[in-house]
Amino acid sequence: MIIIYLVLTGLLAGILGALLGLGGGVIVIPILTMLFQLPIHTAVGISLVGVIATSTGAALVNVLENKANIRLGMLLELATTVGAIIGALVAGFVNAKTLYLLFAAVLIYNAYSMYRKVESEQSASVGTQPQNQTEGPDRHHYVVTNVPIGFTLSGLAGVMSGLLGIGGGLIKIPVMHFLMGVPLKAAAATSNFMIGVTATAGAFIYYLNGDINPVVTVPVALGVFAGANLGSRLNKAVSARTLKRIFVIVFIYVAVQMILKGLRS
Amino acid sequence: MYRKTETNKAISTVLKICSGFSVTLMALGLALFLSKGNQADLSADIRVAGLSEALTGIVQLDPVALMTIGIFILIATPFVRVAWESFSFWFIEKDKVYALISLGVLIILSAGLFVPGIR
Repeated sequence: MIIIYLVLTGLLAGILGALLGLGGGVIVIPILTMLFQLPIHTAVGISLVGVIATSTGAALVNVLENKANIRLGMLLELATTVGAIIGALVAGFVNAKTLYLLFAAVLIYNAYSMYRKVESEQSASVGTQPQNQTEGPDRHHYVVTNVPIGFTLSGLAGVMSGLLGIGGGLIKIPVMHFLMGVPLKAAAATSNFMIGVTATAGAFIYYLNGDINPVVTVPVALGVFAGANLGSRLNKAVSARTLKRIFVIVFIYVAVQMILKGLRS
Repeated sequence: MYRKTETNKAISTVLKICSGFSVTLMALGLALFLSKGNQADLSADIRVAGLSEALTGIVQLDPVALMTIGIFILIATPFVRVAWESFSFWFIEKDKVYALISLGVLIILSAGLFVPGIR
């Protein structure tokens, strides 16, 4: 029975991860630690494998359908991978409580920004031209702007990823969407394409140290694979506005989790 | 902004091959593990000693070995993907700038494995 619950955990993480461009770590870690009572160290190792499964599963669809901007993703990966290594290195020197609370503040700000954007779109007239042709029939017709600052902030996303063991999509997507002018769905697909690479370095360390229990990891990873594929296909049916609403809820949920973790640490 | 390229197709092929192997090994291992009457004990310390032992175990259809190699292939997939992207950008699309960018990512990833205390 536990195997089924683990598969369902992965399935949920995979669907939401693919829909929102997240690795799913923010869903897997709270479930594994709170419901399955697994140590956080074990949960992080499993989560990193899940992040790679999300990225791989979603990329199978996104790359073929040309949703992910591979060149932009590869450029930003230069910054995120360096950032992830730096983040992992400095993790031992930074107060965990400060980190969790800081991250929660960033998430709440993101949720507020998304909420305001949804509200402003709702109040706009029907004939208003969508910014960057987000809702247009051909979502590939957009111009990427603010590359230097986007590159720098992606490095920061990598640092946060290295510090907290997550994919970093929560930071990369707003950076690509709000700052670089990438439509939300393309930003989510590109982020999903990138997070597997960021998670790989950390996952290998856990793997080589023998910290990844295959009997627990495999059901979660298989569930994530199925969920990521399903989520990528659902992406076609979900509007950008609905996606933003989901983002707001997820951001607030994760922020509360981070605050609770921070206060407990 | 960008078009569907040979690199997209190449990446998709790499992802399909790697994830296909990974999922097959993990699913087979899990099925064999459960068929032998084992239960998922979250507190149990189940693992194989190393890659060589896992590879040997695959031949004997050892469930834990199959799952271990499946996980290893999954974790290695982004590495392979970036390496293939670099190759594809350089030799197929003749886009040396992005080939070098991909190579840079690969070097950073490889270097990260040797940084002490990365966890």
